[in-house]
Amino acid sequence: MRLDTWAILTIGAGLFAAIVFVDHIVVKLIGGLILLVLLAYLGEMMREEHNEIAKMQRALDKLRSAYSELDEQAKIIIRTDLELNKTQEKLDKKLTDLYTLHELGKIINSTLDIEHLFAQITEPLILKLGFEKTMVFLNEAGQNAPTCKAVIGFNAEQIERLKKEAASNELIKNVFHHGTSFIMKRDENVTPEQLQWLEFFGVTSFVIVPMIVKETIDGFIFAGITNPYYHISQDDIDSLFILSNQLAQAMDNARLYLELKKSHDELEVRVQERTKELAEANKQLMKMNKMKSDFVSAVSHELRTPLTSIKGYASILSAGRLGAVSEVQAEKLNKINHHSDELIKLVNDLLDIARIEAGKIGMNIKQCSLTEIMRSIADLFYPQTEERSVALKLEIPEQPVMVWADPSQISRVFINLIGNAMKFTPAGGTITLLMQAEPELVRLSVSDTGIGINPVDVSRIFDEFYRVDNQINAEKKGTGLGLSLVKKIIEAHKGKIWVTSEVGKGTMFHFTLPTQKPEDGATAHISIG
Amino acid sequence: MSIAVGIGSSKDLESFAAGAFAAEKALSQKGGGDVDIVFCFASVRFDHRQLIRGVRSIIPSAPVLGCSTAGEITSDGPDEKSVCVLAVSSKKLRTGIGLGRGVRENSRGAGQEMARDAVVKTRGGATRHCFMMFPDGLNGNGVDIIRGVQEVIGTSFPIVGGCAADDFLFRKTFQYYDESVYEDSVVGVLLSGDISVGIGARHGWHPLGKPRIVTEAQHNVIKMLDGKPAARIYEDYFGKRVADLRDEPMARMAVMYPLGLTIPQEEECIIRNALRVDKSGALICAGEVPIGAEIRVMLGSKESALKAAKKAAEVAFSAMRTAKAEIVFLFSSVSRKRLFGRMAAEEIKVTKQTFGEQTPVIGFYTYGEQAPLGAQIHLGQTFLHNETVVVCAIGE
Repeated sequence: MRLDTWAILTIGAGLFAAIVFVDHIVVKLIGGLILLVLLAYLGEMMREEHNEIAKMQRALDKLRSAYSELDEQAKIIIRTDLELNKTQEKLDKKLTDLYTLHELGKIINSTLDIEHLFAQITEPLILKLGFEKTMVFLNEAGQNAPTCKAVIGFNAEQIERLKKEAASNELIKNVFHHGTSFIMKRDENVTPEQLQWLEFFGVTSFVIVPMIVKETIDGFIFAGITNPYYHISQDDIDSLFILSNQLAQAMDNARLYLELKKSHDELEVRVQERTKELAEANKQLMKMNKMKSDFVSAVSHELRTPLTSIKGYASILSAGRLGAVSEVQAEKLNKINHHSDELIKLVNDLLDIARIEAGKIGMNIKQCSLTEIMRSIADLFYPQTEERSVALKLEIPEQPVMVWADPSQISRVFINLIGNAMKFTPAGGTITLLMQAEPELVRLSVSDTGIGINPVDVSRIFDEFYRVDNQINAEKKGTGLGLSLVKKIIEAHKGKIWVTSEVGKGTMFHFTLPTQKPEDGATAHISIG
Repeated sequence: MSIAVGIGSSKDLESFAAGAFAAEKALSQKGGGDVDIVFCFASVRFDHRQLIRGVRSIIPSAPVLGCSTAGEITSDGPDEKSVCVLAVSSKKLRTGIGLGRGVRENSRGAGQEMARDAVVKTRGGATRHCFMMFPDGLNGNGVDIIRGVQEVIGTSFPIVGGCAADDFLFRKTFQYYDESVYEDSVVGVLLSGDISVGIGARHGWHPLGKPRIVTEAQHNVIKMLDGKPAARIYEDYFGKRVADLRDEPMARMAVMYPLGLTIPQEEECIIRNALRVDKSGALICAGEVPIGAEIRVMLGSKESALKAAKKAAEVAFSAMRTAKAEIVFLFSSVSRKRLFGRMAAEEIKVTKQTFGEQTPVIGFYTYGEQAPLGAQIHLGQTFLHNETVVVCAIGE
């Protein structure tokens, strides 16, 4: 049990009074003793209390510092949050800008009309980008000053002023010389001249960004705000740059499209003109070709009659019907006869070519056995091959292969091709006739082991009167019409002919013939006589 | 349906046309017919006289009430630089509109003047439910305006509303009253009749750090906190010099970190926005702060603010009991819009989720909100709030 301080003090005071006032030594002594004990107790108690207070003080200090620490942490939280919110706001703005510009991009990329393009610069768009007023100027061909293509929130006087300043003002010349943005704002550093600008345009700050098309400055965007508390940020300028690039790009596209369309239209006209000219020339050529065919045909006809007469008289003479003929005479007459034959052949070939070209040859298309034709042709050449020691091999199926063709013309093709092969194949060589039947067509070839054809001649070998320049041709006469005629006959049968050759190894003529009955049109065309 | 409403909005650049278009849309959405009252909330960018003229060119005779904003709210979501118009007609709802002028000089007087005007204009002896008001958000003492109204209509009478705003410019706001546009004024309407009204208000900001005691204050100016210039609190927390804080309106930054006044038995603190800092380092707030009050800095997050909006809507919804809400007014602090950023639509979404997707919603972003407190000991008395969303549903 602890005595209250006041109680002790009261008791102490009582004892003290007793010691002072009671005049008895024993009482004084006892009183003094008790007083001493009491004082000692009081001192102890006070020391204890003091300790208690000091403890409490320490606890309080601890609490206070914890509280301050907490408050410090609160400050950190708020500063972080402030930073976070600022970033968030910036991000939101950026997102809104980009979304807006993306939407705008979709619209302006789908238009090729420059006026329509600038009609997209609307107040909601500018507001979304963080500006309130804007003017868009464009340098147009043939104009001294830029033209205002879009305006939001500015009057005619302000437009005129900016147009004038854009041409001359020192402050903003970098926009046009270096393609950089220019910003002016009302802050403590504002000069009287700048202030005059800002007040004239009724804004607290503005920015000018150039519109650059292929490295030339094609115009500019002037955008301002009236809110004194809003500062134009680099992000705002970036967004404006994107807008200006989008516009520039779209304008460039529109211009390119217009140019392209113009040159396309021009080309169209020229193509039409050329086509007309070509059609005219073609008509002319066809006319001339016909004239040539007619002429060849006429000349051949006219030549054939006197030739027949010459051959006839030569026969009469050599038969000795008009008197005996000396040996020398007979020899000369034989020559006349031989040359007349050659000439008649030439004339006949020419006539045939002319007729086939004119569609006048009488192709007698019927179903016939190709194997049979080839065998009889081989028989025909047998004596000659024997004589020249050239082997003629037939590699054809056993069973008949039927085609729709004119047998006499097809025979002619073989005679020409084999004759040719004989001519160029030396003794001991081989001539092979090959046939492969397919469902739609028959593939045929005549190959030899002759001297071959020079590649430069291959492409021209089917031309009329073309003769390959070689030793054999120099020795042996020919008209240069044989292969041309062959080609015409094959084509008249709707077949194809081509040649492969290797100099020194041999030549191979390939051709095809259809196995099916030609369509009515084709038959009719061929058979027009 | 005895309460018919229609909402229209417009962003037309021309003020008269914008007003006319929005009114036209509101009228046609309502299905034509008579209009008993028109509410109009618009961005400060308009020529307000032309705007109201446009509205009245379509709806000529109905009373018009409204103000300038820092963003508009409709069922479609939040908007900016627009005007929205609500046209209401009802056989059961009785409305009387009032105007009080000169809030800068005499806030209390203006409140009284408006309330008397509204009471006189309310026809018949119908049951009074609620007073809705739109005071100038930049002048006068918002708490005194409320006091003025309370002196006329009753201390415990519910008052809701939002302070007129000006797109964060902090220059001046406008109040609409019939065909006239006022500044430095307060407009309001007394809603009475055989209707149901549900009110909910929450902010979702949380106190942070050490409480400080208001040691010197006068109305809405806090001069000293713990015996130091009041602005020191923001210097401390933001790590900026007072001069920097003065540079741009405090409001731009302080709206995110307002001051919280502890109110006994209330779930949330009452919030006071510091609008400006004066040369002596005093904080000029958007509402009165008493000497001796305990003040803390508040921190908001999108999640907690959204949760608070949901809660406010739920409180208003349950206060309606069985009645179906025909129109929901949403007065949300401009700071919330700023906090939410791109998410601002969410606040309107949660309100619609509570009342039903089809329920029409109208309102605006404010510089201060009026709503009664919930706790019993306050007897439903109205306070001036900041950073708060006020949901006021009207139905039958």
